[in-house]
Amino acid sequence: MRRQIFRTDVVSAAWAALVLATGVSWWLGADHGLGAGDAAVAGVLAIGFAKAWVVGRWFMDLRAAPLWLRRCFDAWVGGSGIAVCVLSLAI
Amino acid sequence: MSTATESRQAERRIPGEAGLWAFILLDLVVFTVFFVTVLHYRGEAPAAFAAGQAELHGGLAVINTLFLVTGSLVVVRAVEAARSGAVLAARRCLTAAIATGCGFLAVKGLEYAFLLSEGYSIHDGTFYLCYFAFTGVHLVHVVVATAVLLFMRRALRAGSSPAPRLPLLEGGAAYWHMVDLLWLILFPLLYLSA
Repeated sequence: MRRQIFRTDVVSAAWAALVLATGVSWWLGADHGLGAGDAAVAGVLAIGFAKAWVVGRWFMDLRAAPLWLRRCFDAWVGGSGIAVCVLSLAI
Repeated sequence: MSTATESRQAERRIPGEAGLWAFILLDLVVFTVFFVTVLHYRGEAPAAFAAGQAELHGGLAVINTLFLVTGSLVVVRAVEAARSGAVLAARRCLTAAIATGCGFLAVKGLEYAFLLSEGYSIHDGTFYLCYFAFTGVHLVHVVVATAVLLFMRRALRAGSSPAPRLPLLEGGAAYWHMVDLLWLILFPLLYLSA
């Protein structure tokens, strides 16, 4: 079972990257990181959107989906990500 | 358009049903409104948000993140197994994914129980309003996603071809992954943004 789930392929690599990014976010957000206040907050939010993009691209099979669907998803990640990160710095 | 480009476009296909993707994209936009709402209230009461976040059990949220991310990996393996006709392997993977969904629900229940026993509720200011309302809406999504995985597992019968069920499996998997990715943003927004 474990061999079936954890393989040396891009999906397992995406999972490992998500776990690693979760650890980095926690470390930064728990005030052990750069200690840069708003910049650290915007950083952990940007990491969150980057993780969401990885889930869409590699888990939701969007890499093999029609271009219009990939563009819709990318536009959501990019648009929401920029809006949330900018707002976290501005307000 | 060249023949090679036409061929590549023909090979590309929507995972699951197109209608489900309209729902997924709409749900993503609705959650963007939630994210902006949290930031708006955080801007109005930064001290209350910082104090509220300090009371949350962030370690439990990290465990829940690992549950959902690992559940997503296992769901991908279930769809892969079903595509190759390995019904039993797909069912085993779905059982494991259902376990991660149940794990998330149990840990979230524990987290709510801790907060309520410490005297915090949805009525204790805008931070707790945002926290309980938006994690609650997401929790309902996790319940639905786990039920969908149960339905998918039931749809895969031993000894029969999984091919007719593939659109259902791919659509259900896409819904699970959407629930996972929304949590990946809610987690830093509610637990790490003060």
